Amino acid sequence: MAREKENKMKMKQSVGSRVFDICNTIFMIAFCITIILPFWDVVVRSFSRAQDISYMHINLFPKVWTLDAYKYCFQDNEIITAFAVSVLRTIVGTVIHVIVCCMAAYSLTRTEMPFRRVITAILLIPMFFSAGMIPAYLNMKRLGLLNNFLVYVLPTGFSIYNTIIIRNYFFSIDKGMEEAASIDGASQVRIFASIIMPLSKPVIATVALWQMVGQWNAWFDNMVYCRRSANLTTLQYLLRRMLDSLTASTSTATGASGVEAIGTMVDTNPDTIKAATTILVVLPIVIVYPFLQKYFVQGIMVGAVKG
Amino acid sequence: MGKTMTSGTGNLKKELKKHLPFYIFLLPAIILVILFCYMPMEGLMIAFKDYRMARGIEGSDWVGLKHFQALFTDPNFYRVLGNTLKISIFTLLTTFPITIIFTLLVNEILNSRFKSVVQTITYMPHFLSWVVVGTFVYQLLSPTGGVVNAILIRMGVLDKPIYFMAQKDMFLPIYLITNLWKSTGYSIVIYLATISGIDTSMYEAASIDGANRFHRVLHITLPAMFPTMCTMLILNIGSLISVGFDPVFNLYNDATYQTADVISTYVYRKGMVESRYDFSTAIGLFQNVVSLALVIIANWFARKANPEYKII
Repeated sequence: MAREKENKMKMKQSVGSRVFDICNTIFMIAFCITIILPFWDVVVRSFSRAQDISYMHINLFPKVWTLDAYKYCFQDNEIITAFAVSVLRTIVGTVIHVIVCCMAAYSLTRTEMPFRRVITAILLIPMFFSAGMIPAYLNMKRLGLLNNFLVYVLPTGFSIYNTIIIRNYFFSIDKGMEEAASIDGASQVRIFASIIMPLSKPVIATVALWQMVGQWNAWFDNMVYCRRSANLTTLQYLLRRMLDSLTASTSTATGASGVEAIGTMVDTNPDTIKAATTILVVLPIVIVYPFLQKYFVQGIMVGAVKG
Repeated sequence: MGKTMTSGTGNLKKELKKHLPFYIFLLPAIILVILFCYMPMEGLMIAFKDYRMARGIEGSDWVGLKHFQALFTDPNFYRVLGNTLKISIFTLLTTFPITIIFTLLVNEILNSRFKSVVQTITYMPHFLSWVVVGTFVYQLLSPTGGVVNAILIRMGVLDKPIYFMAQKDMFLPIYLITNLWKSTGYSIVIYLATISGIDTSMYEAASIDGANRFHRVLHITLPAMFPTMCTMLILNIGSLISVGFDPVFNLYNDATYQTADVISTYVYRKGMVESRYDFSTAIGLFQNVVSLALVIIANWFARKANPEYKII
């Protein structure tokens, strides 16, 4: 009797459990579709002919596949320049960031260094209090960095958060190797460059990938500091301006504050061109994404465990 | 470390010399921080000055608290402050529980390959810029060719397309849904890390004692997540007054200012668009001081709740 009841319990549990599994799977699939749909919508638009994506059409695939939008993009000097600027700032910005942070992190591993606490405090305080948008702008102006490429890569050069993550990784490296090299007469620069850095590839890759994504996605510095220089426009900001032209042309309210002039390029067939540009903006992220995914969890773990 | 300080200054000098390369290594970081974090702080003075471009920060006349008086009598400021609090409270109320539920659901996926596919897909939007996400949203909700309008009309819910992005009552729901779309996937990472630290023998022991899946989640997984939950909640409360510039700026427009405008976007428009540098510096300073206070209070609570918690 009791055994029968127990069996019944077990049955009930496994049925409930299975129903849950099915519901959970369905939910997860639905959620993933929700994530993918906006991407797919843009992909379809970018490969469609302008006349096919008219009013009230729901297309799962383009009616006629065409590369017109992409051809247009690759002939448009504005888009090509913006792409080049984005690539350049991503490379230069990431290199500067990694070097500056690694050097600082290596120094911060010296627990017996005089004034270490004071220096750490100096580096840490900006994390909690910043001067704000306007003082930052006036400062850039004073430094002569307005409409200057350096404004993309210098202010982002250092991050205390990433430095601490790198430092925590450095702490885990065996001190013995360093001491041996030191006895052999290697200078600190040599030890850093030929022992510490090669041993820290995983954390350097993590930070570099984060910074690459950050650089590629940045647009605010472009809007505020390099608004007027066409040859410093990044791809993100170009897309942002297309968004502006869209809100300006369809918005019901009057008043033009915050709305920029409509570029000449959006006049032709905005929807497909805009979609193709969006793809150009997203594609590099999608390409580095597998590497990102491999490293970011690792990075978070390093930061969390030893923080 | 182990050395004892025998002769004060001489020893310090020796230590400084010994560490010279390390100070040089720190130099770039310190220079960048001074240039881009500390030097702007001088500009905070203009919050108390009548800023004239030609006369510069130093040369402009002091006006005391004039801009703060203007600020606290400005009806727009209260609207913006209200929007900021409303948006951040609603964001917290939606993202916080949904993240936890989503973590538990992902954790319960049995097939590890399916699990990693789900993670791969749902983490993705986190790495997109808000400009791209804004483009997606405008496109989907567009009255001319947007998928959402098309579907709603086919289903007979609407008889003519709505320009969702220009409806001021629609801003908050659109913002919250977009925010969930972008951040839910990735925000589970920190919780999953906590869960992976749970000793699996606890689950086995519980199953032997007859606990079903639901019981195990309720009595093992959730309690294990609790300290992380506290930390996250407290940190979120610390940033109540600072709704990010990016998401709002890329989702709002002239038609939705009334419900969408937050402090950071207001600072931008007053300062960068209307060039009222002194006034908008005052607003920014107000926001930064309040948010610093909130962070300090939140940090204090975090330490109380979880003695192991350290901000860094």
